[in-house]
Amino acid sequence: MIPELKHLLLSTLESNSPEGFLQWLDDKIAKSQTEAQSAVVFSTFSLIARKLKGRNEKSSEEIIIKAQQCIEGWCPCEWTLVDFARGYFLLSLKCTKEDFLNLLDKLFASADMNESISLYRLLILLPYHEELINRAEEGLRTNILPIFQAVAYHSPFPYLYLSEASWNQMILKSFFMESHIGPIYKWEARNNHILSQLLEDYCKERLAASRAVPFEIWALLEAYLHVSHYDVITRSLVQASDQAKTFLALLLHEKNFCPNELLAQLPPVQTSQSIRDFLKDNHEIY
Amino acid sequence: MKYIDSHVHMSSRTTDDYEAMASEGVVAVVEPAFWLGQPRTNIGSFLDYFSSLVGWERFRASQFGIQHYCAIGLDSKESNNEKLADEVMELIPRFACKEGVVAIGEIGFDDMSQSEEKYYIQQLLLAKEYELPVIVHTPHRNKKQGTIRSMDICADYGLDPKMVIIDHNNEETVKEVLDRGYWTGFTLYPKTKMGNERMVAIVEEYGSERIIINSSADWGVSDPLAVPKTASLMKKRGISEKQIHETCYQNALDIYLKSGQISENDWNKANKRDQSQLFSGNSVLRGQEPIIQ
Repeated sequence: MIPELKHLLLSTLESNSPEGFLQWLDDKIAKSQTEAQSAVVFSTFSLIARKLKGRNEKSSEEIIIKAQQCIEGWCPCEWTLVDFARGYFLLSLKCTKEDFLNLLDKLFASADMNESISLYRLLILLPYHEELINRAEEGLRTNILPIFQAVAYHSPFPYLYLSEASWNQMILKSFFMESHIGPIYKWEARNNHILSQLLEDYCKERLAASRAVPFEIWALLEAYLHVSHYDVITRSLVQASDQAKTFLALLLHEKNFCPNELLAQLPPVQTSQSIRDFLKDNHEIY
Repeated sequence: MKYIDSHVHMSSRTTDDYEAMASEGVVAVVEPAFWLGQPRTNIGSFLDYFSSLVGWERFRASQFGIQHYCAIGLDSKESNNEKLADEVMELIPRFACKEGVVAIGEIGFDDMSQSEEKYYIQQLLLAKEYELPVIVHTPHRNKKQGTIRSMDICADYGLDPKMVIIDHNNEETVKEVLDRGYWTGFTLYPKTKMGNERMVAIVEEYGSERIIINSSADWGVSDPLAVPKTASLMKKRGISEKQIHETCYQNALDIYLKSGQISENDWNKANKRDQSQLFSGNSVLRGQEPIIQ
């Protein structure tokens, strides 16, 4: 797996990085081999951003397709060239498991914001996934939205490795941070009863504070809808956007869960449209 | 008018300060590493402090439309704890190359002790190696001697005066610092150091070349609006727009540009506030409606 990934990262760098960059990086990799904890490793990891300053272009379609062939669920659509270079650099270091994990701890401990984003995006590419689960959970505790999304978005890591409790916290926090859940790989696949209760409580808190309920919540509550939800749904309609009302109408229709008093407050349903179609059309939810 | 506060310790300031600074035209701030009032006793405290300067504080500033840069260094007071100072010196290279680190600083003398001199010199050499500007803190006591000694040491170790800001000047030090070719910083405190009126008199006498005005606002009595307020007073006193622009914006930009880590594009393009990067619950906004410009 690592040789394929390195090849993908390298070919991206070859076609996009400025002249002399790869030679500089290879030279630093060679110097890093003697001691993985040396100052050259830390400075190189930082200096990559300086060397590639201004190269902010996003990944091409071709790279994204190749990435998904390497690792199902991995999509480097938000990655910068700096992320590719940092990934290539870390995967090129030859050191023991213990040294590598110690090095990662130190890189995380002194990371600036963009370095944190790079490191969290890289989790799925790095070896020793089992040892990185705590790190992913730590990243999800951040208050810095781009760091949260670096863990949660476009990576199968949360789906594959988070415990149910951590997964639920990630989804709940997404709503809390008003961050779309669509880019979370398989966001719907680990839906569970406990999460539905957490989300229902969250809806009630939002309504108590006279704040709108994000309509994507209903996509997760869908499987657990119950007559006890009538009250929450009715109250949420007061502040609901037209988009949310349409979505709820579709959802309630599809679930055949449609008391008349609710129906009267919702727009008419176009039966040709499914919930999934609506989500695809109306948000970055997929 | 746009302003840069070239020396301000935002970690100690509130979101009200960020709001006020942004509304008065401050587009960028430089936060030098310094002591926190309470001396640190272990290296982990320095590690987390430096990390917050390049991480959380930068993000926090961006939420108020202000670009945040920093300087990394071991301050003079804590240079006197030699065991810890040696560990900090090992840590500095891990931070000096990061994005948005525009200088080594603030470093220099407090008690004028031997160990302060030792770590001042080591850090000057690091700045030379990394081709970074230096922010030199001059002592509150023994101001004139300390300022001259700080410049003498720079000269002894081959620092280019064009790469060094000698900060916290007053009427007694300004002439020699300017004559020797250094960038000459003035810190405007409400009660001590320089007052706004004195600052205006200095610009009237010495002009605006290489003179930089800053607030050094921190956890003590200080004014994060010192730069725009002084600019406004200078305008009232008939000082030219050009001189106001140079002392409150351009000179600071010119010296920090030498780091390659700051650019007017940073705020001209990206200065639109997007607080939707935040969330409503437990972050900086805490339930306020985000401002998206």
